[in-house]
Amino acid sequence: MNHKIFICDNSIEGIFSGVFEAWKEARTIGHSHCKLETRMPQFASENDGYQLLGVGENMTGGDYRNFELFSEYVEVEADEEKARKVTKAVCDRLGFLTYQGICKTIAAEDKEIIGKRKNATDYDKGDAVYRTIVCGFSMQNGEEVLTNLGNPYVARVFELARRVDNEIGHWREFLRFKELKNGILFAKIGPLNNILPMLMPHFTDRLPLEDFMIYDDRRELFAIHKSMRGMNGQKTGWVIVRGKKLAEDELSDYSDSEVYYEELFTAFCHSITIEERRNKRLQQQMLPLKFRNYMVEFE
Amino acid sequence: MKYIVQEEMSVMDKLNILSDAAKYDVSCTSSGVDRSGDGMGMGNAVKSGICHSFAGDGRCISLLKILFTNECIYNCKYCINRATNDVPRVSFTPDEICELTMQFYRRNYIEGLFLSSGILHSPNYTMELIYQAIWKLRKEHNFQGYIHVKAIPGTDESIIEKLGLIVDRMSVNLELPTAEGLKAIAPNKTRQTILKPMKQIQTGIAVNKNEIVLYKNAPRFVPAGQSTQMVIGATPESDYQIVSVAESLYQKFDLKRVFYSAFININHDKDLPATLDGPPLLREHRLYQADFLLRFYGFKANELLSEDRPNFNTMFDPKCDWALRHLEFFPVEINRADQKTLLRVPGIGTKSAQRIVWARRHGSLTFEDLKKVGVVLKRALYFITCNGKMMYHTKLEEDFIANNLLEVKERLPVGISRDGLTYKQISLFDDVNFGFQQQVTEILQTGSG
Repeated sequence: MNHKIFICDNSIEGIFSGVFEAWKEARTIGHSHCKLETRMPQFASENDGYQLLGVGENMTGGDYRNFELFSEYVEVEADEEKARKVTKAVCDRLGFLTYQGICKTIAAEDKEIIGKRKNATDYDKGDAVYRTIVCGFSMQNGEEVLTNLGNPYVARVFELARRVDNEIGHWREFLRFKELKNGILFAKIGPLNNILPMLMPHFTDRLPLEDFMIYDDRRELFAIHKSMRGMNGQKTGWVIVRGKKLAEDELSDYSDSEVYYEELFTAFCHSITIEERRNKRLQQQMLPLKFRNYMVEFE
Repeated sequence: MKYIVQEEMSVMDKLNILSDAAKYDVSCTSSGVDRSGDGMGMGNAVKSGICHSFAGDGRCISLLKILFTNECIYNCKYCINRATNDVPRVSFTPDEICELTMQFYRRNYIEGLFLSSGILHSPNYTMELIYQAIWKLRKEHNFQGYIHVKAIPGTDESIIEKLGLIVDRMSVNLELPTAEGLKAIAPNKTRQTILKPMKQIQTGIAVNKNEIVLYKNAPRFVPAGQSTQMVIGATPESDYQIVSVAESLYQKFDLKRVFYSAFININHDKDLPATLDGPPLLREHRLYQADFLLRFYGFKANELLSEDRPNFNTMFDPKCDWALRHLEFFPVEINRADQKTLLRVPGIGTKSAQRIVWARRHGSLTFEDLKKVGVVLKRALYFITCNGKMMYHTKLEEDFIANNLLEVKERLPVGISRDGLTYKQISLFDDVNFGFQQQVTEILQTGSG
């Protein structure tokens, strides 16, 4: 009721631009009259060919969010300059750890889990982030904002950030590379949240001398790292590519020793099991079935 | 004794034999040290450890766990590789170990290497070979991932010294909790030969910490610390003795972890127990729970058990058991109690206690907030108050709370049963009000549903 609702893109730039706009408005009408909502995936700009895939049957078209009576809806375009200003403000006032937590919240896209909570939808993460920033700025020591779990929006950000964190941990454990004929290591993952950019730092630190590529098959995103051999310890960035399709046929072109090492590892996993303690349910509890499609020892 | 010429065996056969022989060693974690790669090699280490896979018995696979060789001159009764067993004997070459480790690591199958060994000729001879293999891995292949090495009791000081500079964790297996047990079951190993290298590693780590304060880039000696392992159930020690030994190990040797391995009857030796019901998994689980209480919750061994109560309660975990016997400390007021007291409440763990203390600074907490924070209210509600009020009207009485906690049912790890017991607490009073308990359970169900 009587809110000014800002509709933003489902990305860090989008939501931070929304925060920028909302803050500007809030100077006249007050923070409690401003709200953020994230745009439905098909409203995301088509120019860069970015499509959110496989998110469920509801995504066929038509905006089914609940419109509020007497509220004004404003579309916000993602703007890099605005996002940069908000980022600087957040890092300065709330600390880098809080900023990381907020980024993780924005990466949360797991509709199943988000939808299980009553009245929670994919849209509310923008609002939760906005109100957390408001709460943090009003505190004396903004860096403590994520400990204030009494505030329901902070609790929501905390919860979403924790889910994303857990998923990053899982994929860090269960990701498997396969060596292709040209020496490139290729890995496929299927995360529920948009975690690919957060996985890369770990692997670039671990494998600086390797060419490798990680493919997110739910979003058709590629993360590519080039070997730093001969650069004397200089560690490089990596890039994310989208809009390209995966060449399936080139994928099965493994290097000669790839099958050999896969067999060795599978044999190792079997021989290390203590038969007297065999416990399939415990194994399933620790290693959910959904990851096993991507793991070589379960093929 | 079958002797197979090494050249004939493929790496696959060797891996099968030597990983099968290593599988009873449970101290295989990749935790304890944070290290970034230097950009010139391969690998880094993460302090929390990373479990890359889980085996069919539910245990995590995080390191390439192998023996260097399964030849052995000792004859410990519980061990599958003991000298008098007729098993094919085989060894890896250093090159093979390096190749396996590097190729598995770059495919993200493992966090690093776990190298144990049987004893070939003598402890020093074997450890020297192991040192050469690991040196090759670190210096020639530039491997910067995790390496855990088992030191053989009786090894020379100089070898431990140089090995400690290139591994992350080094451990010596205690094998059995008491000296008498050791003498009966593993006569070649004595308390002295086991504790001496443990002491040396401990001193080395302490000295190294001082060196690092003075010079930031000093080479690290065993940066992930030391651990050890005990076999549970092979000898008749009580739980109290085992937990006391663990406590003194943590205090006197600065160990990072003590591991407990349920005894599995491989050899069917006449001096070892028969274990007809399978390995003592519930006992092992209780020991791990007590171990965490010692390390993170500030408990002492004599608080959990004593001479007249030397073994754990099968119905309740050690923390609940302690709480039920010490109801004079409860109820605890959430908004006032200090963190140490909060840790003693069943249902509040280390993370929840920390979050409560932090969240308290912004305002007082209600039971709803506690649920968000991660407290297990179904267990904790009997022991806490929020702003003076308990969640539901409950009596602070041992029988009453015990019965209700039994209704909640401890979540044992999948696969462990309470040894088939269907125990129900008997009461001296005929008019025990079972109806009231049903009521409370119903309230709990509606409240949380």
